[in-house]
Amino acid sequence: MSAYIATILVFVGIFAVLAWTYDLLLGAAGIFSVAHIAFYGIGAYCVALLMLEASFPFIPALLVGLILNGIIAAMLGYMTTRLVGDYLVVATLGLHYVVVDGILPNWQSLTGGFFGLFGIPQPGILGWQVRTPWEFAALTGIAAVLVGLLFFQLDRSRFGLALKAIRDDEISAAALGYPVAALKTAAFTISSSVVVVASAIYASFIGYIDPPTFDITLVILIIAMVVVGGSGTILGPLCGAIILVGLPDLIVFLSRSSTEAVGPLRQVFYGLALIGFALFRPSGIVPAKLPKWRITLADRN
Amino acid sequence: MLAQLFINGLVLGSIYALIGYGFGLVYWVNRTFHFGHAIVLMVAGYALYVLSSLLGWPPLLAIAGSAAVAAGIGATIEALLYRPLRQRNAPRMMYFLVAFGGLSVGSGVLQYIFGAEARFVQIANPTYMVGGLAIAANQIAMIVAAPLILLAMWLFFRTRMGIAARAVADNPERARTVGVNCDAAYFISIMIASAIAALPVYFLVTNRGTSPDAGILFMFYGVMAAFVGGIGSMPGIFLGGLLLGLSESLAIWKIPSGWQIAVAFGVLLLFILFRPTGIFGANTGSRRI
Repeated sequence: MSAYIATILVFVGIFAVLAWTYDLLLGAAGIFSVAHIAFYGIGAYCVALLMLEASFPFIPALLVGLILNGIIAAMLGYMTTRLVGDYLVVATLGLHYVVVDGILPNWQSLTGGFFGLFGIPQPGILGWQVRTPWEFAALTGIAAVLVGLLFFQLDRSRFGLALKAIRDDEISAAALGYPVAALKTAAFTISSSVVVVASAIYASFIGYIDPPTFDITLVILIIAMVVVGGSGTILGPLCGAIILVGLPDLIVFLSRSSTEAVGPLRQVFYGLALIGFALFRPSGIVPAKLPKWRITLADRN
Repeated sequence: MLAQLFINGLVLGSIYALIGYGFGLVYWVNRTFHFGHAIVLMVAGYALYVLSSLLGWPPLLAIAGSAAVAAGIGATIEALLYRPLRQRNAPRMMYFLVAFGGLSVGSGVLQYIFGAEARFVQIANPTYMVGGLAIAANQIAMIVAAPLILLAMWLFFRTRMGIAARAVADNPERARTVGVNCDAAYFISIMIASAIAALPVYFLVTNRGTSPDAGILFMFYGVMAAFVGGIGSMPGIFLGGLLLGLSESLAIWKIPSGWQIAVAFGVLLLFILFRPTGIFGANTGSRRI
């Protein structure tokens, strides 16, 4: 019974990481990419394969996956610098399909094809065997706190400010001497590699992954979390994850309704939330605040 | 064998071309990246299923019916989602967000009504042998109808409404000052785009069935055609679609069929990176942002 609550917490944590990493791209750097779930999937397969085939322990597998994603993202980062707006959406959408509909199901010798990978082992970290849902919740909580702190610092750092400058006015930023291409590529790389934290937890928690797990509709969910929760803060995407993932799960649990109506109703809920916020409150539930020094300058005048 | 692949490529190309044409029309006239086209495709598929398999309408009537439903959905998207954003000069990203939301809602509703399994439409589809090649009735329909639609659109753009649409595509403010009803143009273009999509949907649904999540992939093929062919050039989109369809189909000759999407995407990526204006280039180039 309470194990279900723990499961909800795990998923909220996983999606919080997904939302934070996505917000670095969209909120801070202004890069509208829909390839995020493709990287989530690549990370998951990488971690799963290392743990299954090469008997890697959890943390090393996660780190290798992180580096692999980082390399791929760095190579593809060229795309985010050359392509603007619509073109980037189209290119990243295509990337998603090539990975999730092309590579993952068809490279059968590596990925197990449409059947996916099962029997992914549970994490063993320095002697701690993570087995029960509550242990997973603890693991996810620790990971979420670490990732949250990381992105909090990134956001306030000079790197974060530079990204926002690029987001607000790329040409001026370039004129001021910011290395725009390098910064955008860096954002893309960091975002896509930290996703592996979420991938690893998901893979070893559920124990099974297949190509349909990484459906394009997950991208819509993550974007909804960032928009509804509020872009530009740490609390915002976390709120988004709690409201769009935690809340429906909790309601299902408490009302014990039949599971057939649940899936579609949740989709309608996400869709309406996204539309509602996009039309009436784009800043989200937790709006981004102006940095203190801007307020001070205004005060002085 | 090669000839068979060529025919398949033409059919596939016609599908991409028609979906892309609709998408490109809205992109050009309404200046909107019409991600909602996926919603239209999805609903049109189910409309065809309901009309022909559940209500037993004859095929032509069912296709016409699904085209009407599609046009209605397109008009609804424009009225409820795009128009409010346009009225307040919303940033481009917002159009994506509302379309994503609409897609989620539509998909959820359809799934609630029809369940998540794919639905197949049973329409009589005899196969003919032409000089050693097998070709099905719906394939003939696609190859024949596509250029006819292109011709029809060419004629449309010579009518008053069509010229008005071109004016709005070029410069809405200027069009408004000479008395063109921009809102009407936006609605007409999205409705035409949606209705045209009913034909490729008919083919896709009779071949692969329809399911709640099929919309985005179908739409994406159209998007690829539009960007390869060149936004702002309607015939260009057509050629773009044919190019994609043919290259995908002929690639099967050498590459296992699961990788088709990679081939199509490869062609797209080449164009986006090295010739973003597409085959026929755009007189709309810098207008993008």
